Amino acid sequence: MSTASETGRGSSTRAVQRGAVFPRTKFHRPDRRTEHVQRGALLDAIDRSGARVVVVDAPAGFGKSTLLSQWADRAGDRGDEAGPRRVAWVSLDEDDAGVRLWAAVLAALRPLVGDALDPALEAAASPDADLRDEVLVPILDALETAEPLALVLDDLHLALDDARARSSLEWVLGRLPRPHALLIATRRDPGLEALRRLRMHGELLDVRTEDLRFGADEAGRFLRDGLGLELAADEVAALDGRIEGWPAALYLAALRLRTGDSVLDVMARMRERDEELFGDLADEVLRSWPAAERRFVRDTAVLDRFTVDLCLRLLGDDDEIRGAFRTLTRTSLLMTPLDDERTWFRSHHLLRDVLRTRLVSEDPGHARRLHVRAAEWFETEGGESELHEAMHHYLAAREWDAAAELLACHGIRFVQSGALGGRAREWFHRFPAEVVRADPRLCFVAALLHALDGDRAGRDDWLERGRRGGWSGPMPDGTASYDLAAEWATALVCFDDLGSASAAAERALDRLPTGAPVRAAVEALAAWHAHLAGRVDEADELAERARAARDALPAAGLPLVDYLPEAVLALGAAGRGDEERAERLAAAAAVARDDGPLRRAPHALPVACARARAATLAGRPEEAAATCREALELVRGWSDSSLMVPAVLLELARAHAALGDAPGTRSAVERARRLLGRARDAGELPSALGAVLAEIGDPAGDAPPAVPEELSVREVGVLRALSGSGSLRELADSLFISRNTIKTHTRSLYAKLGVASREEAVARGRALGLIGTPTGADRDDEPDAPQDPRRQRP
Amino acid sequence: MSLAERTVLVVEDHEFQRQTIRRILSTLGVGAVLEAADGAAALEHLDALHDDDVLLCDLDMPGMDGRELLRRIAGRSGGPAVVIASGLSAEVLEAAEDRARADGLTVLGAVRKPLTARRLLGVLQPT
Repeated sequence: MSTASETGRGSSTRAVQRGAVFPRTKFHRPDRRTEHVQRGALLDAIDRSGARVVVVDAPAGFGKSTLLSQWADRAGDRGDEAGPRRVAWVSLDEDDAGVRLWAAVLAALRPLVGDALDPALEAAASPDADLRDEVLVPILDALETAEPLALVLDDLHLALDDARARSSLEWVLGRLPRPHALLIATRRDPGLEALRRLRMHGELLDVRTEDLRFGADEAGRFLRDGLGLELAADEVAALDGRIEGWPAALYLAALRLRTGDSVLDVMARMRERDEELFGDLADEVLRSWPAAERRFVRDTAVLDRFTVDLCLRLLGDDDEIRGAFRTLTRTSLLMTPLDDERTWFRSHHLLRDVLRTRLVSEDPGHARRLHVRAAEWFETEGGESELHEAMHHYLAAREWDAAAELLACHGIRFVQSGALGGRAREWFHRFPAEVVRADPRLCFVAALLHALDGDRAGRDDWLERGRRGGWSGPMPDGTASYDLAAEWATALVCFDDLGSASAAAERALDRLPTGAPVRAAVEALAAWHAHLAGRVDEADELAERARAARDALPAAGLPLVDYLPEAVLALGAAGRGDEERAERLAAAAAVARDDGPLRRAPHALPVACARARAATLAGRPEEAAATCREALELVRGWSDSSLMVPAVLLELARAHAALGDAPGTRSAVERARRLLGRARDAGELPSALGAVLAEIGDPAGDAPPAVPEELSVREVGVLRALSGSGSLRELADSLFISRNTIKTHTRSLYAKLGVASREEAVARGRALGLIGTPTGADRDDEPDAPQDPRRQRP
Repeated sequence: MSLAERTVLVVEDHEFQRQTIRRILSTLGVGAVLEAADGAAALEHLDALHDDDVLLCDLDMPGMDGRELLRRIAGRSGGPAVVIASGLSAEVLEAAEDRARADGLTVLGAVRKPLTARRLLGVLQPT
């Protein structure tokens, strides 16, 4: 069976996907067809104009792509003075908004420009990228020194509704380096100020509908040479006049003429308006075709692209459909190949749009069934780059159940993996709010997205809402139950409460199977949390387990498991004064981070901590301080969900202290303390910050807040549980411990806090900031009136 | 028999699909997961499987497809139980299942693709 993607087959299982995932067909220039009329005069005009930018602006079916493809074909033979010889082609689609537009441009330019574009490619894959500084500027820099090239943006109109795409296009067009050319095909005037300026300076050539209309001479050549139709000159002129030189309509008319109808008959059945005229012509043509071909063209109108296999899945595997596919893709200009192997095709846009609109309005049930079949095919036969099409078809069919299953199955990987994280959000937003609220799988995805955004309340609300949904059976990724999934989601980020995250990790790791890929991520983050809590041995053990689990995975897991265990081990080694091991592990962590998609993402801050700590220990505090400052540059506007920023500030303070820079030390400590504020449980961070101040001889007034350090994480967990309602037995059940154990913890807790009752313990815990106040802990939101998920930016 | 004690051999030509199925099975708690890209590769793994293990087999693959693989296995004595998977129609799945049973194979079930966690658990550990 032919498969949908080349990307998934035969590649290394641990290969790291750099940049956004696009189907190869996106960068394929339309093939030369013998039926097409060579637009020699127009091509010469473009070459002669010397324009740096060409805008071909005309409605569908006027041969815009064909013209630019012919221009690109001639590029190789062109003299240097006549313009670039090398051409990059991008066919845009509705999804090319914001940074994704530039990710596509970068992917197209990469083979021509080379690895100078790699940093921009990586940045474009990160949802947190600064579009201008990290993507556009590096593109322009790389183009400055690149050999002349031409970039074709086909169907630019599809990206023009997006404000970020527009503003970034404005910005780049105003700065396009000189030897390069840009050719644009669009169905409407882009209305960009930069294009107006280029036009004013005579650097832009407009090719408009009038230029693209076939004259009687071209129409005659098209009918005769391309389609083998010999018509009298006056018949050609009459027909061409009636369709006003519209190539696509002329083609449809010609197909009808080939069946033996007279020119007068065909013309008599045409209506006035363009869309109607085209619809009528399409009807005429379809009527003249065998039933199988008719059905083929009508039903594949729901698809943006197709292979024979996909068509057979949609229409049924029989000889007639196979025959229709063969005939239409070989002989009809209405089917365009999208790759050199002629595996993927698309229907003519105009025909597809007419038929799709009609199908949806006349037979919505059938259209829906076709979408579902297409979605299932893309999901089960495609690679990662086809998941988007699978989701698109499920959503078009309003097949919420399958769409939710697909999103939640891949959710955690998407959320953590750069460009796909953006996709997860985009998909999530296409579900109706009431569907999201009622589906625990989607609530879970919303919780993950909130966690990634550093929104603890959002995560907890969505997890709780999902819990109320009463999901039974495994979650889509295979996690045994919703509750277990909620445990690991809680364990992944600690926000300001290490105790809760550690306790959730403990419970999740008790129940997650050894081979579950998410296990390695939970262990790695639990290791980070244990490090922050000052439980060095536990951090080491968890990091080693995460490392072993990661290495046992057959394919790449979450990006963080590639670098986080080494970072934590390096910090542990540094804490023990093992300089050599700390340096080695920190360097390994940095290499792993740089090989993955989170290279410039703040989520990888623990690597900076490890490198800085190792450098300070090795007597290179200046390098350590520089590493920290560089890392802090990445966190602008980022919501830290795992105490990573204060941890970097701690290392910065240590570096300053080693340099003897007291003001620098104080400043870093103060900044960290402001961030920690009233953190529920920031582990060792407060006391470590105090220790650094002590090192530079600051007075004891800066001592860490009064957190009784002898309380264990479990005891803090028990204290928190005691602050709620419920008997000791219920609390024991909720913490997954026995009644005897909770009694032991409680006794020890009372002794350490110097109290004699549950009420006193809770009051003392609140006074110490170990647990939240009642108003903070018991949210008074109306639980049955959840906020609109669209308003809460997940 | 618990999932943790079982090995599942996933026979599926597309790597991304294989990885996805593998991830779901491992998270469900299947003890070990082996992979093969076609029938011929699957045959090489067969000796490593016990009677309690499972062969999860896609019907449509280039090279030796699932039907042929099942025919070959039917000729052997003992061997794993079988789960048949396909994105093709229910009739195709049913016919393949009937055929495999008639050939004497232990068929745990036939699952229509996409293979979800719930569908996989349903055949591997029916309640």
